[in-house]
Amino acid sequence: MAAIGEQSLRWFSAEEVEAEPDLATLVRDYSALLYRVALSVLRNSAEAEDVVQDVFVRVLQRQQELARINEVRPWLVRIAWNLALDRRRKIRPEQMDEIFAESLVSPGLPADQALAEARRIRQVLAAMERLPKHERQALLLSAMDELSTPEIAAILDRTESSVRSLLFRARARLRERIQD
Amino acid sequence: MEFEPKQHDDAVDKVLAALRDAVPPEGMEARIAQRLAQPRPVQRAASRWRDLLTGSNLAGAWVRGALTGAAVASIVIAATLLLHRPIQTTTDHSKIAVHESVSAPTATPVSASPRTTPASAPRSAPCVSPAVPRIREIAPAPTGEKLLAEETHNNTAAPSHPAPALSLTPQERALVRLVHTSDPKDLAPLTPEMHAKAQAQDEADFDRFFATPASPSSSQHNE
Repeated sequence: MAAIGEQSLRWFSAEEVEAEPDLATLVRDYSALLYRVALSVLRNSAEAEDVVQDVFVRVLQRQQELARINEVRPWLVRIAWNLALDRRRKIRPEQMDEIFAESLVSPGLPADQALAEARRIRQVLAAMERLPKHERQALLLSAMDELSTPEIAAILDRTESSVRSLLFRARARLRERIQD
Repeated sequence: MEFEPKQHDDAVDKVLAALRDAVPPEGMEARIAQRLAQPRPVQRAASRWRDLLTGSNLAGAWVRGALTGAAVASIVIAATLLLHRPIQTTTDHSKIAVHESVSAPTATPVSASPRTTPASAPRSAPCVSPAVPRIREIAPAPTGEKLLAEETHNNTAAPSHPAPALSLTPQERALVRLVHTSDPKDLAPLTPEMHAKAQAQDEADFDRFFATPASPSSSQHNE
């Protein structure tokens, strides 16, 4: 064990350590994006914040690997997505949708219109849940302004054209299902 | 209530825009930094083993696979040993039986067989032909004749005992039944004296029954 530790110290003791991003910088730069990614899966603010914390705890545990990561942002988003999916299995997102839909209703609307809008948003959220996994992931990640199509492709481990195709199909399927 | 398609598109855009514009809770970065600043809990050995046995990581899968493989291999080895053991025993017996049947017509005693190891030879000395079974070291299988002779000898030498009681004949069973009831009338036919006495008694009773009754005058006179 000691030999392995010395070896890893030797590997990362040169210029690579200088290039290694600081954890505090990572938190400052990416916590908001990761929060939105987790929120798109969980639709609950507290759960999404917990996921962001877990992401950085994982990063801390694998800090020595950071220097070898070429694209930090897709890597972090992928960790956040997977952790959010793990956490999602423990909660019931349908219960979260009620609160989330009500929070999206425009304030100042008459009560009947507010109810109709909340219902419409709940329909959209339910239809998103029923999308195929990759289509749903592409659609939700595309909502993040910070993520470009190449980055989404890197996260999904697909080509850019494949990501565009997934987005088109997701939109079409969503429209079709909501209108049924 | 029916919604128009445009309203649906608007709803989709609204949801996606809400996700895009979501603002993290205030102080989230500080909380994360505080959490990261805490000393990392030392993972105990027990929890590490628990993670290996129940976790979903690759190392856990390897450990579980190795344990399962070892268990299956030990079961297979045990089953193989159990299955092959009796087969090998019968094979040895058949070899010896064949060897005996070959040597029997020549009337050569087993100890004088040229294939056997001489008694004076040390036990650690290597056998001349390892493929040939060493008869002296293996007890010969008893044949059918030998078994029969042994059984006869054992029966003859066994200590004698009185023969077991035989079952009663029907007449004996009738006698036992009669004795147990102790009925004198039934016992009478067995002895001539009693038979004669019983017959005389019967005749006397008969005569007394059919005898002319005494006249009433005589009876009054008597009174």
